[in-house]
Amino acid sequence: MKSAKKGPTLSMVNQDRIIFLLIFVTVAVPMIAPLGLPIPVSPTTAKFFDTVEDIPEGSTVLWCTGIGLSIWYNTGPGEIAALKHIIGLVRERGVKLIVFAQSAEGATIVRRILTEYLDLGGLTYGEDYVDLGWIPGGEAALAGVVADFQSTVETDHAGTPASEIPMLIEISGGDDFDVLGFSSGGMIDAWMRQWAPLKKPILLNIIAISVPLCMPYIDKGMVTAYLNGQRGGAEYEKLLMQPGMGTSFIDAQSMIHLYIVAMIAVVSIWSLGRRVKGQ
Amino acid sequence: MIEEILLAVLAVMAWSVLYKQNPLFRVAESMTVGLTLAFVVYTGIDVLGKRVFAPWSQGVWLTPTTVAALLGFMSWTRLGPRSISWISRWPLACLAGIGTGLAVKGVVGPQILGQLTTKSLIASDPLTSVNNVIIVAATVTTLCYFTFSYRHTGVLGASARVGRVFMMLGFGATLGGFVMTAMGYLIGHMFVVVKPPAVYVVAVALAVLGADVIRSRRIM
Repeated sequence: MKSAKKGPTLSMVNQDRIIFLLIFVTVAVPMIAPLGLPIPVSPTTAKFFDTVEDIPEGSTVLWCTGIGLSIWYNTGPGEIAALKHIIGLVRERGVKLIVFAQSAEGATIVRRILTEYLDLGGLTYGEDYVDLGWIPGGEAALAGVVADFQSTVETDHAGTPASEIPMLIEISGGDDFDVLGFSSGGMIDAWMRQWAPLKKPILLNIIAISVPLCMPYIDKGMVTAYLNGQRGGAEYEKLLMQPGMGTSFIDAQSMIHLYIVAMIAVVSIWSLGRRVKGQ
Repeated sequence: MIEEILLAVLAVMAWSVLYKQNPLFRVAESMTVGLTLAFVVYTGIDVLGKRVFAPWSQGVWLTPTTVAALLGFMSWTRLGPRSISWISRWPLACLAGIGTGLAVKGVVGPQILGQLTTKSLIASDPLTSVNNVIIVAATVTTLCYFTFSYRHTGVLGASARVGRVFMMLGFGATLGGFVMTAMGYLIGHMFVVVKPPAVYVVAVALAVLGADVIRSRRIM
C-alpha cells in the first residue's frame, strides 16, 4: 500500500514555540509603535467616573487595596486613575481620603501609588488624606473598619497612633464614610458581606477574569460601578484626560485579542477540515 | 535603571520555560517564591513592631491587636512538645468561630436576601428587557442540561441543547476575561522590556536563544 505523501510537519513542541513567539511579537509591536486605536468608554466606567465626580464637598472616601503585586499591571491603571480623580476632589472640594491595604503587598502598592503616581502637593497628610497601611485580619478587618473604626485602626502605616491623626478622630464606623471603594484580584464576597449592608455607594476596581463572578452583586446594585481590569483603567484615563499606563497597554490588549480570535478560527477550521476528511 | 534591568532579566528567565525547561527558569521560580515569602515575613514583622511591640514598650498591654497577636503566638505552640501543643487549638477555635460569625452576619443580606429580590422582566429600556429574558432562559435551560433524572428527549432534550449553547457562551466570555487578565501580565512586563535599558537584556536573550536553536539543529 502506498502511503500518502506528507509535507514537512512541525512537532507539537515547535508549534507551541511558534505560537508563543507570535504572542510576544503581537504584544511587542504596538508597544514599540503605538497604533492609537480608539478607546470607547463603556457605560460602567462612565458610571464609576460619574459616581466619583458626584462625591459631595467634605465627604469621606474609604478605599481598600485588596490586590497583590502579581496583578499590578492589570488593576494598577484603574487604581491609579481612580485615586488621582479622588485626590483631585480632595484638593477641590475638601473630600477626605482614607486608604488601607488588605495584604502586605497591597500596602506596598498603596505607598507606591501615593508617592510615585499622585500629586499630593498642597495637601496635608492626616488632615486631607491618610494611609493606614496593611490592616491584618482579612474579612475581620473589613468588618472592623466599618463596625468599630477606632478599635480596628490603632495606627497608620508609619505607626502614628490614630488618636494623633486629626481626620481619624471623628470617625467611628461605616456611617462616617460617604463612598467606599476597593480593588480586588479575585472574589469580592468578603467586601460585599461587610460593606453592602451599609447601603453606601461602593466602587470596585477588579481584574477582568473576576468580572463574571461579581455580576450578581453588580446586577443587584450592591456594587455601584466597576472598572474592568486594564481596559477599565484605560477608559478611566481617557475620561480623566490623563493618559497613563492603561492607555499604553490598550493597543497591545486589542492586538492580542485579535490574535487569539484568529488562532481560535484557524484551529476550528483545521479541526473541521480533519473531521470532514474523516481523520 | 537597575530596577528595569533586573525586571528584564527575571522576566526573560521566567519566559525561557516557553522555549524549554532550563535552570534559569527554575532559579527565577525559586526566587519568586523566596522573595515573596521574605517580603511577607518582613512586612509581618514590621506590622508587629508598630502595632504590638511599640504599644508594649509604652506599657499599653491590652489592645485588640495585641490580643490577636497573642492568639497568633499561641498557634506556634503546635510546633512545641505535646504537653503544650494543645494551646494552639484555642486560636484555631477563635479563628473558626469569629470567621463563621462574620460570614454568617453578612451572608443573609447581600448573598441570600439580596439575590432573591426580583424585578419585573419588563424594564423601561427594551435592551434590558431582552437581557432579562435571556437570563431567565439561560438559567432554566442550563438547569435542564444538568437534570439527569429523566432521559434528554423531547422538550427536555431540546432545552438541554439550548442550555449547552448558553454555557458555551458563558465559558467563552470567561475565556475572554482570562485572556485579558493573563495577557495583562505579559503586556505590563513588555511595557518595560521593550524600552532601553531592558531591551538590551532581551536582545542578549534572543541571541542566546538563536544560538541554541542552531546548535540543536546541528546535533540533530
